[in-house]
Amino acid sequence: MAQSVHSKKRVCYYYDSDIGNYYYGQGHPMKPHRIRMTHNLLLNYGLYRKMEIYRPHKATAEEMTKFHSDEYIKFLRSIRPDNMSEYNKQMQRFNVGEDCPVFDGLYEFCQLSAGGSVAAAVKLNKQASEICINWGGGLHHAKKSEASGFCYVNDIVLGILELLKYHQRVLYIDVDVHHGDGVEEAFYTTDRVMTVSFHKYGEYFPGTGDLRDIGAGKGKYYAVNIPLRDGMDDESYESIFVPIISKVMETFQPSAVVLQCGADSLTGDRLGCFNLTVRGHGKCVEFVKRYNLPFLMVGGGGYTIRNVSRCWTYETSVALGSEIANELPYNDYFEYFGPDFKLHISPSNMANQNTPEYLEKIKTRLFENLRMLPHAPGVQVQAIPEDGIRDDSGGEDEDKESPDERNPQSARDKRIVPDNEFSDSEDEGPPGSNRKDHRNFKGAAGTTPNRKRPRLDPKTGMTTDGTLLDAKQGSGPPDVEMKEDKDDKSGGASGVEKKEVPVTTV
Amino acid sequence: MSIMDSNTKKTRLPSPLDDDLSNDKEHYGRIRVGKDYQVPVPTFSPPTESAQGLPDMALQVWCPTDKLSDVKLSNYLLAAKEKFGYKEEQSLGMLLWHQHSLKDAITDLANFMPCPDEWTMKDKILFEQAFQFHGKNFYGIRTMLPEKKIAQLVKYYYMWKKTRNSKSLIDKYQTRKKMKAMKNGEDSLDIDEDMSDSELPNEKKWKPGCQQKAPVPSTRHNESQGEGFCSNCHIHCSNCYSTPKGKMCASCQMHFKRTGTLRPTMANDVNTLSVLKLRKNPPKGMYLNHDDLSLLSINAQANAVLSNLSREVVSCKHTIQLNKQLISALLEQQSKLGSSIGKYRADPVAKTPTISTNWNSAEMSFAVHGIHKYGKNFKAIAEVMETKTETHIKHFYNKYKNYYNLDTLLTENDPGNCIMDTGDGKS
Repeated sequence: MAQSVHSKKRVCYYYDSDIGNYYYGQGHPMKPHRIRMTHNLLLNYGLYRKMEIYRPHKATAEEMTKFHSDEYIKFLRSIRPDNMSEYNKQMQRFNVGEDCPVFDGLYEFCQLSAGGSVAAAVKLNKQASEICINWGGGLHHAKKSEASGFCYVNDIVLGILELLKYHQRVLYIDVDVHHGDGVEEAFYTTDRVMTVSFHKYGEYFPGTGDLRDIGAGKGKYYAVNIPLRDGMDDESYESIFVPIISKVMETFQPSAVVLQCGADSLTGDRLGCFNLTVRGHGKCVEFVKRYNLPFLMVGGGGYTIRNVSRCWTYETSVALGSEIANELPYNDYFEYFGPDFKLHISPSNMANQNTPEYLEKIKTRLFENLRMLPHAPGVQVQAIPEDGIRDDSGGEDEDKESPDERNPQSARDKRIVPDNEFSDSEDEGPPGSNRKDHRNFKGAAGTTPNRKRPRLDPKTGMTTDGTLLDAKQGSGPPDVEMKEDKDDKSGGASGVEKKEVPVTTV
Repeated sequence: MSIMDSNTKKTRLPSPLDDDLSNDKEHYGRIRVGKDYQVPVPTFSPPTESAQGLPDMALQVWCPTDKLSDVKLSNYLLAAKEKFGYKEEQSLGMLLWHQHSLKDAITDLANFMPCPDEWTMKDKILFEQAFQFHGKNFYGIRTMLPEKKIAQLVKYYYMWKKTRNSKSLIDKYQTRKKMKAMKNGEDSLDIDEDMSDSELPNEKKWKPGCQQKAPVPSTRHNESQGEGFCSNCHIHCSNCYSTPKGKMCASCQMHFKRTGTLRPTMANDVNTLSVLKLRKNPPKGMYLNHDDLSLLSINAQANAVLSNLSREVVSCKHTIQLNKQLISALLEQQSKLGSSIGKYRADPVAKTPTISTNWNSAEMSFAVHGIHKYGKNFKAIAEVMETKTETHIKHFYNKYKNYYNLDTLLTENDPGNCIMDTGDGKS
């Protein structure tokens, strides 16, 4: 990969000084204090004054119920440590109590965490910022009506929902050591959000995230899971992160990215089992940043708090594109960083159970799945900015639209992300080429293994644009198993039906 | 879907799965599908001007500006901190409020009093006691400190956690005692279970109780006439008074003057060797001065003095870290420069002509080649070689004429074919 040239970006940072004061309970590994430690480091590194700083609003119940069920939010709002006994039944139902304890200020904590991510997403929608950071967010396990893995309210889902108002496709990347199941589940059946999660898999919380979980219905192939083993080091991580994200960017062509920077994938984490250093972890940020898309960075896991604050401080500096010294500045929590008082950490000597062959296998498998994606889904669909009247049923109108009307969309996209470039993708056109040119290589058969693929309608098992394909392209059956891509123009509605009917029963 | 305790998460065994990805093992976690699990996706509308007008949903507290230089900003922050006790965030907030106008912000600083989250000594002691009793159960602690909120307690806890050892002498003394009981003798570093990674390495054992302080080998030693150690209580003081019983500090001298006896101290029998052995030095770099001690005990504002000192310590630590950053930056620069210079230096280094009479093998073969090329033009060879003079080469020629068959080389030499070749002798 080419070395990145740090470009200066407009960075907005969301932080509420109260967030460090919430306490999950004695012996609980989740410590919101790490967010304050990060903040204090940023301040003393002089990064604070280089960013726009916002104190987020407290998300309202109304905002939270855009994803969560009313009952669940109502429950979170009313439960307190002193009235827990009255809620025994609901606590069980909503999985609050053990991993996700009731603590003083629980609801406010959720409000601040969600408020930050939503405000950040709005900021990106306004195009008033290029990168937004909310280290208080990233609680990716929370489900629609269920707390899970120290997460109560899924700020990421709320943020993505906000982004979806003005972005056709949003990419979610999760580098937490745990699977991002809450986000994946929320968007499991939509093709407008692709969730990509790199996580430890096998006898590990939360148990989901198998390679074969790829999404359902319309969202089939829009969930990407990279199951990994213990001991991932910087090198292996990069060797799988970079090609997969490049391919995802190329095929999915998102117009906004959300990165969950869970720091429990660092070496020496209290709960994690990877062996990444701060630098290796930060490389993910660096890599995603290079795509110059509206970029939301959120926190997440991370249970060795001194390393978490190191990591997020470094990643903030990466986002800002300003280098910081390895020697930590003196700060309120300086003693936590002993004995070396340095920013960067060294990996341990633990064995890496991920062999290059294993990673290669995963990569091939995922590339096969990604090849099933229609190129830049829905581009043709949404190209109706003139009338602005839209069918509420989401992508249904995809069928009606003709791909020839793509032009306005591309033009619009160009305006949104003027400097959208995929300089790191070998398959791409010259630097500076934007979305617009995907039409070119789509047309030129054989230049790229990514082909437009018909997709399934969740109900009928028909391709959503089957008729279109028939009429315009005269398609043959696409081969689900094939490794080498054949002809773009092959692949027909009938063939798709035959091959993929079982999926529709999901 | 398994609900795991945090501990089970940690202790789970590594994956038993083998590398075969296509094994038909049952998924043990499943993403659920249905309207109870997925979220309805909002409709997309192309970004228009209306998006620009969306509310921020957040309060802006700082925004960087090009109007102010870094130096000016730093000076402002320093002034706000030292004069009014503002935190950096607060001062920057003030600056933003005045649209980055330094002048307005400075004048306005005095109008507000940053309300500090003040903990009185009493609160602190109470907290420490409560902590000993309840541990990290903040609800329990709160029963002893009812006027504090949990949030305040948590905040204070994290501040106090890592610094308590340097603040609480009693704590320290107890751990020392424990350590001593465990390891007998040896002047080892103390390792507290909590402080294991932050204990300053130069903190050596010492006993609290200033009466037993041993003479400190300080630079101030006997500098002026009046300065020295009290022979009675063995404390360094800036003003000693001579008495028939030896030099004494002000207190002891006063006592002696009044009563004619030595002031009773705990260290009365320090003269015996065994007691001398027991004496411990205060931590390295710490000087106990009798005058300071008496000042502290008299001065009603002792706390203010102490807090001033601790502020000074903090700012010193700031400077230390800044200097360290500077040093490492310079070192990095140096190594960078070193490597980039190296490129250019490769030639000059080799050419630095240090003329010596010793011949190494490279020089010898160089000379042979030279003779092959330039014949008996020893001057030219010497110029090319640089490490030998003309006479050296001449000697070499005479000495090795037969050994290297140099004369045959000379005959082979075609004077018209003298390419100036600075070859490295191995070609």
